[in-house]
Formats: sequence, structure tokens, C-alpha cells
Amino acid sequence: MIRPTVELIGVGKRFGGTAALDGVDLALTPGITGLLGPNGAGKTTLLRILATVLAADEGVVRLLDHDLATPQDRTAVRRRLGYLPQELGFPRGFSAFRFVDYMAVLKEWGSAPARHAEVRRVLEQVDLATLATKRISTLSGGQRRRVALAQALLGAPDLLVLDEPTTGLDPEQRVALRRVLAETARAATLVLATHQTEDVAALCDRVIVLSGGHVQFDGRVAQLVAAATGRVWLADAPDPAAQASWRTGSGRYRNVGKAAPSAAEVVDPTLEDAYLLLRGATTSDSIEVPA
Amino acid sequence: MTAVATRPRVPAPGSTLRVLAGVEARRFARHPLFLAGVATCVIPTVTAANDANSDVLGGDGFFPALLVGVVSMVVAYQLTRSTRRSAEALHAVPTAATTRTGALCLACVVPAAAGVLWLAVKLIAIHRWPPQPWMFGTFGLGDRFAILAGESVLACLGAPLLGVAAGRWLRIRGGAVLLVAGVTGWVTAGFAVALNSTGGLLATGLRLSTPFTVFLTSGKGYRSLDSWTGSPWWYLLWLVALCGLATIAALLHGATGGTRTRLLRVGALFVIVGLLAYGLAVTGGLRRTVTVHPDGTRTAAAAR
Repeated sequence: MIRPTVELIGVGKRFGGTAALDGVDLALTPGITGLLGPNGAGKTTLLRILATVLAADEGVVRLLDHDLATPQDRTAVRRRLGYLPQELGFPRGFSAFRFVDYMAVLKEWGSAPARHAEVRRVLEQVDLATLATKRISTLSGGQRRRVALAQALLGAPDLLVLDEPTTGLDPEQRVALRRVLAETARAATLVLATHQTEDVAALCDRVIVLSGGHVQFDGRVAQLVAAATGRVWLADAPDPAAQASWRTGSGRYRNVGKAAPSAAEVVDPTLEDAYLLLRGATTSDSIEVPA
Repeated sequence: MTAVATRPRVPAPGSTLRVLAGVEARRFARHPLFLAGVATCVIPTVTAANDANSDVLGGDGFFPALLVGVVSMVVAYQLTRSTRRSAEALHAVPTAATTRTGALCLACVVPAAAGVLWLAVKLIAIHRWPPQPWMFGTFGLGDRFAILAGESVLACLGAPLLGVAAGRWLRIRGGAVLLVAGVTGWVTAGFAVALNSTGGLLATGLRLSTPFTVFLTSGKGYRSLDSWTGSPWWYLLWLVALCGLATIAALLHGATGGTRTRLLRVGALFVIVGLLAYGLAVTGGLRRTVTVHPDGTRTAAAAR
């Protein structure tokens, strides 16, 4: 059995009187894990704990065989960690190269030639090689996001923690990013939080759905999608019995609900359908996820 | 073709600090405000170098202290604050916050070097175009050096160190303006008290508590010079202690555990040395302001 690279046992975190995370148990192995959940579900708090930015109030956090109990443990983890925060600002006047180079120094690249080669490598990886010398303030939102991602990729980290990596990227850039992340995840544990279910469906082996600081679902993407089989149907009008329905480009309505009516045109569910069903299940009834 | 990913080796202790200090020093040296300050300082320095009526130990030191020192304080503050928007990512790197602050403190050698350069130019100018002896007031060779070093090197080092400390701790908009106003107000208050007195422990104490002061002022048309109270050498040591305290204050931000304890111990040592030096600076040297005339005669300064 593969030893988990990320292990959380009974992890809790409170901000004032609000529990951002409550009794979270997780064990992750190399590969890509997607983190889904509504705003305020605790995704960012969980990622900040995994990135050693935030300490848990309770429970055990073990990353890359370190317990994070001492500063030495945290430093050892940070040497093998890449982190893309939800919002990353840049120092004024820095070019993409200069910023990533600055981060490389902080990630302990002493030798300038090796450091510069690594900076060029990651900028090339995120397709910014030609814009490396441009000031970050002149770059577009998507390009800035890729600069932020480049610093996280420095040194091919063993644990890569990404908070909404595809925000601001156009479809082509998102596809390119998926390729980069898929390559990276061959040898690393990659955790990404996102609101884009299609990114999770395209990239992730495993999906975790957080709700109110608890793990609502933890399993393979296919398992979650399979749970929605027979519960998504097309109709000419929104079905009042549906949990959610919306008009599609064809002019027909896609309905997601407890069960499709007998005469309905049932279609294959997507991860988004399954996610909506799972979210609705917290207030109505549960959905059964096949093992 | 994409290059193969590499990893840095675990660095030798201190090597990241050295590399980072180099990066921060280059940022400092290239900062437009710093370059403008240095460039502006060159003009009065060159003008005063061969000016017979120049305030040899007095007002000339104002130029590096203001144009390099105070300007560098603002630059150091800005450089320290510049990475705050990347703070979230910086918390996840192996380099500790104290190392990053330490690198910024080490980068303050850049303005200090400008101060050293100014001091060297001043000493060469004094050697090349020697002023009349009375223009040094009552101060001997050693005291002259201490006065000039305090006005230039220590002012150019201490002010940016204070800028780094303020950059780490202040969480308000316009912090740099507040810092400049606070420091200049402090120095001006000490100076104003001294100008309205001919000595006395209280006036000397207030004047020498500030991070910049002069020991010699000229009368109208350079007809006489007033040598002010206090010991220049002990004042210089007081300034060194202030520099140390500013560094400790900066490093304490984000320091935890054993590092914090060690910093507090060193800080306590600087407080003791500083208070001792300050006490000796106030009680040592001249007790009353002395006026020196061009013919070499010395008289007690008249009350202003």
C-alpha cells in the first residue's frame, strides 16, 4: 500500500466562534485531488493548513512524513512544497522573471546560474517565456495568474497546493495548465481547490467535497458522477420536481433531481450535475454513491 | 524543449541570507528615490569641499543625513513593505521571516556606504584644503572624526534600519510620511532646545537623545563658532546602540521560540550599552557651550 504523503486526522480550525474545519480526516497519495465546495466550506483554510501557512487548532497534520510540530519540520516540508494562494499580489515594478527569481532565492536556490535556469524552466512551463522581462503590472489577469503558478512549480515540489489555479485563464490557457499539472502530478501530490467542476473532471483522480468544514464526499470522480446516473434529464420546460434546472444552448432545459420522470430523456451526468445533487442532498435526501 | 526540473540542495547556514542580502542590496541601490537622494547630496558636498567658509563639523553633515539617511529610511520602508502583497506565498517558503528581514537590514550597508564615501570625501577635502584651526572649535582630531562619522555613516545606516523596523511593524497607510515626520520632529525638538540654551544636563540630554545632532555651529558671517556640549565619541556609541536596537526591533517581527529569546537578549544588551553610552555622552565632553573666535580665543557662549 502506498504511504500517504498528506495525512490529516481530526483536524479542526476555528476563527472566533466559527468552525472553518471540524474533524477533517484525509489521507492523500501522489496524484491530483480536487477540492470542491461552496464558498465558506473551508477549502482555503484546508489548503492554507496544507501549505503550512496556518496551524490547525486540533488534530494531527502530517505532510511528507513530517508532523509540523517544530520549525525544523515546517522548513523541511516547505523545501518540498509549492503553494499558489487564492490571491497573490506582486511587488511593484517586478518583471515576471524577477519575481519568480526572488521566490527562487527564498526557496533556497543559492547558485545564480542554476536558479536562473530553473526560473526559465517554470516560466516556459506556464508559457510565459516570451513575457518574462515584462513588468507584471502590464500583464493580463491570466498572465499574472500564470506568474503566480510559476513560482509554485519551482523545484518540482513533492506537494503542490493550488487554490483556484484556473481563475482568470481563458479556455486555451486552462487546457495548457491542465497539461502542466498532469505532468507535475506524475511524481507529486497535487491538491487543487476550485469552483470549476470541469477542471476537476478533466484532471483529478479523486475529489473531496467540503461543506461547512466537514468532508461531505471523498472518493473517485467517477464514483461521484456515477451516483448521478439516471437523475439528469432534458425537458422542454423546467421540471418543478427537479432540484436544479437551467436552460441550455439548445433551448431545452437540463434538470437534475431525485429521479428522472419515466418518459424523460435521461442524459449522462457530468461532475457538475453530481456535485449539485450532492449539495442538494444535504438539505433534502442523500444520494447513494456506488463503491 | 522544456528543461528538466531540478531542486536546490539544502543550503549551508547563512547562505540564503547572503544571497538574499545581495538581492535586496541591488534593489536598494537601484531605487530611484535613493539614487535621487545620493545625486542631490553630491552637489553641496562638492561645493563645500573647497569652501573656506564651510561648516566643517557642523551644517555640512546635514546633507548626507537628510539626502541619503532620511531618503533611505523611506526607501527601506518601501522595500520592506513591497512584498506584503505576496505575504501568503512567502509564508510557505523555507526561508524564515527573520532571514528576510535580516537581508533587508544587511542591504542598509548600501546607504551606509554612501555615508562612508561622503566621510572619505570630507576627510580628503579637509586634508587637501585644511581649514583654519579655529574652525574645528574646541574639538581634537578624534572628536572631529566621531562627529563626522555620526553625522554621515551612522545617520545613513541608522535611518534605513529604522525604516525596515517601521516597515515590518507599521500597519497604516502613509506610514513612511509618519516616520519621516516623527524622526525629523524628534531631531528638530532636540536641536531647538539646544539652540535656546548654553548647556546644562537637561538641554544636552534632550539634544543627544536624538539620532542626529551637530556639535559645532557658526555665528553670523563665520565670525565665531560655538562648540556644543556632550561627548562626540560616546554619542557615536549611542548611535551604534540605536542602530542595533532598530535591527533587533525589525528582526523581532515574526520571530518565534529560541530566535525570539536570543533577539530579546541581544536587544537587552543594546539597551544597556545604549543607556551607558548615552549617559556618558551627556555628562562627558564640554559642560557649557564654548565660543571660539578666529584669533583662537575661547569664551563662554552668551545666553541666546
